[in-house]
Amino acid sequence: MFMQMAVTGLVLGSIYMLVASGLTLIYGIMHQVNMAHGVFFMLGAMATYYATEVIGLPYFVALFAVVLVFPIIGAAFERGIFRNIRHIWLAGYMATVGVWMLMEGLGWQVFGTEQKAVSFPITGLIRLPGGAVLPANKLWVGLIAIAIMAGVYYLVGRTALGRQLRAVEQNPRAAELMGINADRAMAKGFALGVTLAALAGGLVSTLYSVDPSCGSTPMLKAFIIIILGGLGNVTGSVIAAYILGFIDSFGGSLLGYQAGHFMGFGLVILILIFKPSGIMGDE
Amino acid sequence: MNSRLAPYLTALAVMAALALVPPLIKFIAPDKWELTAHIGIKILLNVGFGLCLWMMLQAGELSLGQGGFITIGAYTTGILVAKYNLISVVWLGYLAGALAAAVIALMLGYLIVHLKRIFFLLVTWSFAEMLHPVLTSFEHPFGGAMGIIDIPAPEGLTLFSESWTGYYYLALIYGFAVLWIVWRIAGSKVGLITKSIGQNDTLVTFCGLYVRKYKVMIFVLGCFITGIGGGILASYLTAISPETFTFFTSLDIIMFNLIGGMGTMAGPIVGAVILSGLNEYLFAAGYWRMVVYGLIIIFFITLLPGGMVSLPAALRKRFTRKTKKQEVGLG
Repeated sequence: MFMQMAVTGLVLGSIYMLVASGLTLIYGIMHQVNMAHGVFFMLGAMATYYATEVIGLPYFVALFAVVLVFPIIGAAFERGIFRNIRHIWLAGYMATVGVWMLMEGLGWQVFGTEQKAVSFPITGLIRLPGGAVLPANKLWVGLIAIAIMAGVYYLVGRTALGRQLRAVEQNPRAAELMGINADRAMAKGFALGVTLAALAGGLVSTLYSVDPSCGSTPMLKAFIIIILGGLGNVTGSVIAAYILGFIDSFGGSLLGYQAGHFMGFGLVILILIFKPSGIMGDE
Repeated sequence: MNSRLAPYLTALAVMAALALVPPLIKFIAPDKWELTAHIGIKILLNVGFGLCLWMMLQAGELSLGQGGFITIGAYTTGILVAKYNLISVVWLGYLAGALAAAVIALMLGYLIVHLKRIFFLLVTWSFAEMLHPVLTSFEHPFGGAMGIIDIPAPEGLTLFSESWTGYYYLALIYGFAVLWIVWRIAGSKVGLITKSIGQNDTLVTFCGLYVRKYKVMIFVLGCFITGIGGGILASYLTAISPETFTFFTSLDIIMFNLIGGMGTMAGPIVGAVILSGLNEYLFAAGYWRMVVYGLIIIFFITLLPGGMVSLPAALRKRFTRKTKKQEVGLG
C-alpha cells in the first residue's frame, strides 16, 4: 500500500512538474502570472483527443503534433494580447484571466460537455518490487513527463535559446544591450511554457477523461507548486511538484481531497508570509 | 451653491431618485418589479463591495479574497442567527458577521500587508480558497456542503408587503453608506496617507509614518464593510453554501474597478452597475457568458485601460489626434 501510494505520488508529481515548470518559466521570463495556463492544458488534451480518436493518428504522432502546433499558438497570444500590456502587472494578470474565460467558454461551445478519453498505446499492468501494481499507462506517462522535463533542462541550460531566455530573465534591458531581442525571447519563453502545459494535457488525457474545464485543477496545483518552489525558479518548482504529488497521494488517500486542498493553500500562505522566495530561494 | 456641499447634495438627489423607483415601477409595470428589485439589490451591494476594494487599491492592496470576506460575513450571520439561534436580532447578526470579517482581516492583514502586487493578490486568493474545504468538511458549525438554510430577514423589513422591496431599500442604504464612508476617508488625512503609500511606500516611511498601521487599517475597514454586505446577502438569499461565493465573486469585484476605471471613485460604481446588470442578463446564456466575460476583460485591458470613466477623454483624444493628422497632411 505504501509503495502504491509512493509510485502514484511520483506519477502525479511528474505531471504537476510539467504544468508548473511552464508556469514558472513564464513568470520568470515575463513576470506575468499566467491564469490561462489551464486553458492551454485543456487545449492540449483536446488536440490529442481529436488527433487520435477522431482523425486516427497514432498517439505519439499526436503528441509530436502538439509540440509543433502549440508554440505557434502561444507566440500568437503573446504577440496579440500580452506584449503590449506586459509593463502593467495588473493588466497582464487580468488579460490572462480574460483569455482563460474566453477560451474555456469557447471550449464548451466547440468541444461540447461530454467527457472525452484517449487510449494509451501501451496497456496492461506492471508489478513493481514492493507489492505495487500499477497500470502501464500511468507509469509510462510519468516516464515521458520526466523525459520531457530533461529535454526542457537541456533546452534552457545548454542551447543558445536557453541562454537568451536566462539572460532576459535576469535583466531584460541588459539582455537587449547584448543584442538579444527581449520581446522575441519573451514570446519564445511563453511559447515554451504553453507547450509544456499542452503536453501535460495530452498525457493526462490518457489517464483521466477530460472536458473543457479540466485545466482548472492542474492550474491550481501548479500555482501552489510555483509559489512553494519560488516564483521563476524551475528547479524549485520541480522539487515542489514532487512534494505536492506526495501530499496529494498520501494526504488524498489518508485524509481526503478537502484536507489536501486545505494543506496546499495553507502552505502557500505560510510560504508567502515567511519565505516569499520559496523553498529553494536564497534570501 | 456651496461647493463643499455639492457632492453630498448630488448623492442625496440620486438616492432620493432611486428611492422613488419602487413605487414608480409598481405603478407602471407591477409584474416587472420583482426582477428589477433583484437586479437593483445586486447592483447596490456590488457598488459597496467595489468601493471597498477601490479604497484598498488606493493603498496598493489588490485583494482577490473579497469573496472570502463576504463568505465570512454571511456564514457568521447565518450560524449565529439561523443555525444556532444565538442572536435573536438579525441586525446584531450583521454586526457580528462584520466583526468576524474584521478580526480575521486584522490577523491576516497584519501578516501580509508588507507583500506587494502579485504576492498580495496570490495570498488573499489562497486565503479565500482555503475557506471552501473548511466549510465543506465541518457539519458543525458550518453545515457542510449543504450550508445554512432559513436565514431570516432583519426585523423591520416585514413592514413592506413584499420582502424584496425591503431588501431594495436596505441595499440602497448600504450602497450609499459605503459611498459616504469611502468618500470621507478618501478626503481625510488617513486617506491621503494611504494614497501616498500606494504610490511610494518607501517615501512615506521616510516621512516618519508607520506604513503597516495604515495598510492594516484600510484592509480591516474594507473587510468590515464587506462583511456587513455578506450578512445582508445571506438573509436576502435565505440559504448559503460553500459554493455561493466563489473565486468568481472575488474576480467580479476586481472587474468592477477594471471596467469602471481605478482612477476615481466613480470607476467602481460605474463598473458595478454595468457588470452586475450584464450578469443578470448573461445568467441564462450558459457558456456564452464566459466568452462575453473574457471578451470584456480583454477589451478593457487592451483598448480602454482607464475604464469607462476615461471613455470621454479617450474619445476626445482620438478625435483630436485625427484632426491634427489631417492638418499635417494638408499643410
